Order: sequence, then structure tokens, then C-alpha cells
Amino acid sequence: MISDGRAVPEGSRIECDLCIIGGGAAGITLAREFLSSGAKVLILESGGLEADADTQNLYDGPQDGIPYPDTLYSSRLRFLGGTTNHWGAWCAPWKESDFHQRSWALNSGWPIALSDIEPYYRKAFALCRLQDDGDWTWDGEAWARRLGLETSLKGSSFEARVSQRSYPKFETERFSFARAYHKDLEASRMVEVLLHANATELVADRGGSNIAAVKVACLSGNRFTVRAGTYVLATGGIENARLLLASRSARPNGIGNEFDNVGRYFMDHIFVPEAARFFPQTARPDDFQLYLPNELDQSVVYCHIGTPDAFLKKERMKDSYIALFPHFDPDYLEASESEGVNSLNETIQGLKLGKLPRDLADKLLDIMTDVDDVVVSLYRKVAYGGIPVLYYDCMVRIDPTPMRESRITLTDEVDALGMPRAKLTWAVHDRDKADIARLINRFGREIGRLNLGRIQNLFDPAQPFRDDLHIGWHHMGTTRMSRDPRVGVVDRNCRVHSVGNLYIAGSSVFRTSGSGTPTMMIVALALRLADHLRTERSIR
Amino acid sequence: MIRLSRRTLLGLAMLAVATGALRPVAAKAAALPKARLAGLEATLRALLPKGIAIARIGHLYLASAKLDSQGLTRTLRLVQGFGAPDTMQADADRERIATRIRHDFERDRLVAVDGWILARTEARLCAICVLASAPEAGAGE
Repeated sequence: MISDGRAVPEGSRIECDLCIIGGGAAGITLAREFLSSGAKVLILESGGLEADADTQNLYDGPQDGIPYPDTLYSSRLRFLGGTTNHWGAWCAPWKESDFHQRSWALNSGWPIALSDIEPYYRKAFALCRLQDDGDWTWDGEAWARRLGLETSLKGSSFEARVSQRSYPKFETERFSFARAYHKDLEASRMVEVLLHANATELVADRGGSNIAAVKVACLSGNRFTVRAGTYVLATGGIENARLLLASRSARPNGIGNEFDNVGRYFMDHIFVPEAARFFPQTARPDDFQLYLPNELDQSVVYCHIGTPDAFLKKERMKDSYIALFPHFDPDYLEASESEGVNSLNETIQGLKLGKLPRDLADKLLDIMTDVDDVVVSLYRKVAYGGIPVLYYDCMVRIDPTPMRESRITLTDEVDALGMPRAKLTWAVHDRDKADIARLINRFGREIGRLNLGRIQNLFDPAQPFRDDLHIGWHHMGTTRMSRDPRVGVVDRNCRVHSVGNLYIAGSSVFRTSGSGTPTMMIVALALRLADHLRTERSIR
Repeated sequence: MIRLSRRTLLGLAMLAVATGALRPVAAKAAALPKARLAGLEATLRALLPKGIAIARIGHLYLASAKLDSQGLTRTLRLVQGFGAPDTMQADADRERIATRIRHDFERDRLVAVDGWILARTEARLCAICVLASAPEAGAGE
């Protein structure tokens, strides 16, 4: 069921078996696993069913360090469904080597392996509404065959890495976890979503080894507490750390922060647009069409130029990929948009359907008065099979180095609920910039070797990032997983090392940002956590 | 990316030539028959994608700090055997150059000029085009 926290009486206490704080991808995935269980599950969701400015303002906070290309206010969303309400919805699984410790990559390596996650992939694909037809699903060459396109980079050191969009072609509305699973949550008798209910503090018991309650506040003014056997924090990569740090009544440094790790190792995927230009040897748009969004049956797929394991090992680099954005020859592009060309296309379409356009005379007049553009357009079709490509902008995505200095801390300023605001100090390792330059150089070498064109590098690692730097809005790493409590916040089961009944779901547990997309991994990890809670915490 | 006017580029390139190290190779390049130069330019245009300005690459390569007189001399020898663009030999010339460029890429013999990641041979060939088109630079030889 879905209820309104503002209707909960002041000072009351709600009891449940499992309290999930946060109703985004992680919280909803986890809660769905208990829809028909015998356990009472409560989701505390700060927002309502739609965005509202006062709730969103609870996210606001200052920043320093190197300029982060977005604000804490706008890089995430605080209502049911969380940031999946505005995500790009591209999904890709992680690979085995993402979990390995790489001697050349600082702070790499996970205490779990892909084999711990893989049993949950199929279900994660389904929850993210991805087409899953077996092994070929994530194989770039298989997609190329199915789409009838060239892989073009076959024989190079790179691979075609597949992403799939989470909402199928036939769905016009963007896919969010709230929209997709609202009915499930509403219909459940065991899972309750409490909207407008903000967790403001985790209260530890006397010994400090368990959470005894969560303090909850609504912007309408009422405050109450929730007591549960087990708690899961699922409020995203910034808020998870913020709530732990702000829970200071029993532990002055915050919950789970015995070794000063909470909030540290903040990461986001770095996207450098126009890091290079790729001038192809031939201008035929089909040659690299595989590396642009393509539709097939109900799927939308997008291949990037990825770095396989052998390449990473040889070059001693972290994972990265290049995305291509075509720039068409402006002369031909202009011609293709002229009235004469449009009239010609409409006439041809009509003839194909066996009928002449009603305004045929007008269309013929358009074609005749625009004959130069029509000729250019016809030539373009015959010579290039489409509008010729002048060059491709190369956007580089890089797996950032986890750095202790990159962190979330608390400020003295408080929000409308009296909670200290989060502050982001973003740091990027110099090595990451060097890796971007190296990747471009290696791409240039391979493109030249295969005689596919030439690369012009526009990225200078010695300079600060340009203003057009993008991030993925993927907040990761602030409660990182570790075997050793001294170097992380949660264990391999996502339990906070020093607290018996507190778990964390979401990308804050990531140790590295991986080659795939975060949401897929968030969902798979949440499914794995649900299994763990069933067996180890007897939530059934 | 460096943004320099054509005049500045030419000035820098010719300064490099005039300072001495490149004068012998500049003189030899200037002595190339026009047909051979045309053959070289046609080959480069065929091998490089649209968007690369051969003259600009040549000027910047010459103006770069690493004055590559020995390399330019070796590459020039290759060009001296070129036929005119409309002869039977043109295809073979192009193939020879293409092979050498591919080998450069395979063996990591790359240079960065104005951001372009190029085979050393093609950068040198662009430079030779510039030297051959500016006979006055080698006139003092």
C-alpha cells in the first residue's frame, strides 16, 4: 500500500520487520522481493509521487574541490522512483574483470566476484525491461549481424560494447521504477510505502552495535519514529553517507564511521565530450552506424567502442569507452532539409504506397524550383547511402580512480528539517586524465592501422577539464564495500561492518564504477541483498 | 589545438628551414619535378580523410621542435621514385606509401601534429609537399 507520512500522528511509533529508507531503484527492487512475504516491510520515501521544490531543496548543498559539473540539488531526484525519474535508461552489465584488483589501478578490487552477482542478472534485466535472448544479448558482433551492419573495428584492440535502453521502443513514456512498479507496491498488503517521510537520524542502541530506531520528519511538521528488526539504507550515493554521518547521538563521528571511511571515495563517471574527432576514410554513414543508437524489434541498442581486458592489461589502464556522435557534411545536410527534397521524398513515399499526393502539382513545382538541392540529395543517396559524415565527435567515458580526498562531508548549515546539509568535495586523479589522453592515442593508432580514418585529439591532460565536462549523475563509492572494516563501510553482504542490523543498498557500496552501467548493478545487488535478508535475517 | 594563421605557419616553417638543419632536404624537395609533387599530393589526398589540410600539417611538422632532417631525407628518397599521377606507376606508388604508413601505425611510429595522430611517414610527406611548393626556401643552397 502507499500512504502519506504527513498523516502519521506526531510522536507515534511504527513497528515493522524491515525498514527500507529510500524508494529509488534499490529500495523498490528490494521491497518487491517481499511483496507476498509474511514480513512487514516499510519504505520511507522523502518525496511524493511527483517532484516538489521544497522536498528537492533538502538535497541542496555546497561544493568545492574541482568543479563538479552539476549541483547536489539537480543531479538527483527526491520522490518515489528516485533518480530513475530522469535517468538516461541505458543499461549494460558489468564484466568479471571489473571486480578484480588491478595492480596498476589504485583502490581497485571488490570483495565479491561477478559470480556472486550473475545469478541475479536475468532478473535484473527483466526488472529493467531489457531484451534478454541469451548470450548474444550483450555481444556487439551479434547485434551487428542482426542489424546487418559492419562492426568496422573488427581486428582492432577495441570491442563493440552493447548498451540497451530500459524502455522498449513501443513505450513512449520514459521508464522509471516508480511508474513501472507503482501498482505492485499499491496492491501489496505487506509492503507499505510511506510518502513524504524523511529519515533524519539512525538511532543506535545502547551498545551501539544495532540500530534501535529511525527518526522520521515530514516537512508538514510531524515527527515520528520507526522501529524495525532490520534496516536498509537506500537513499543514493550522497544521502546514504549524509544520513550515516548525521546520526551522531550515539557515535559522534556517525554510524559506521569508526575508520573515517563514510563519505569518502565519492566517484562519478567522467564523460569528456569532443575529446577527439574521428575523420572517417569514407563518408558513408552506414560504416559506423553500429556505434549509434539502433532499433530492432522492440529493443533500442547503442554500441560504444569499449576497452577489452587484454587492452586494459597491456596498456595498464582502467575501463573506458568512446561514444561517437556524427557531424554530417553541412552542404548535404542543408540540401536534405529543403522544400524540394521534402516534396520529392513525399512523392516517392506516395508512389510506393500506390497513390499520388493530392497536391502533386505543388510538389512538382517545389522540386523544379529547388532542383539544385534535389540533385545534391540524389547524389548523396547514390554515392553515400545517406547524408555523408564529415567527422564523428568522440566522447570518452572513463572509470574514475576512487580517491579518499573525493568525499561527502556535513556542513554547519541545516535544511528545513534541521539536518546538516551535505557538501561535495570532488577530486579526480591526474592518472585519469592521462588515461583519457592515452585512450585517444591508442584509438588513433588503431583507426590508422585499419585505414579507417584519422583521429584529431582535442584533449590536453595538462589543462583543467573544460566547462563542457559531463558526469553520469552516478554518485558512487561513499560507503564502499570491503573485507577489512578499516578500509570500507560495508561487508560483502552490504551490511555496515560495525552494525548488526543495518545494510546499505545502492551505488554507494561500489568500490569501483565498473564497465557497465550503475543501475543494472544497483538492481542486481538489491536482489542479492534480498536473498541474504531472507536467509540471514529470516525476513520471509 | 593550436590556432595559427597560414602566414604564421609558413613563417615558422621557413624559419626552421632557414636556420639550417633542413636546408639540404629543402633544396632536394624544391628540385622535385612538378609531376612528382602532383603525384605525391594526389597520393596523400587519397590516403588521408577529407578534413586534414596537408599544407597545415606540413607547416606545423616543419615548425615543430624536433627537426627531423634525416627522416625527411629518407622519405624524400621514396618520393623521388614517384611517377606522375596519371601514369601506370601511380597505383604502385600509392600502395608503397600506404604500406609504409600502415607499418608506422603497427609499430607505434606516430607523431602528433595539431592534435592529429598520424603515421610518421605521412607527416613527413606533408612536410615535403610544403618544402617542394616553396622553392625559395632552399634557394640559398
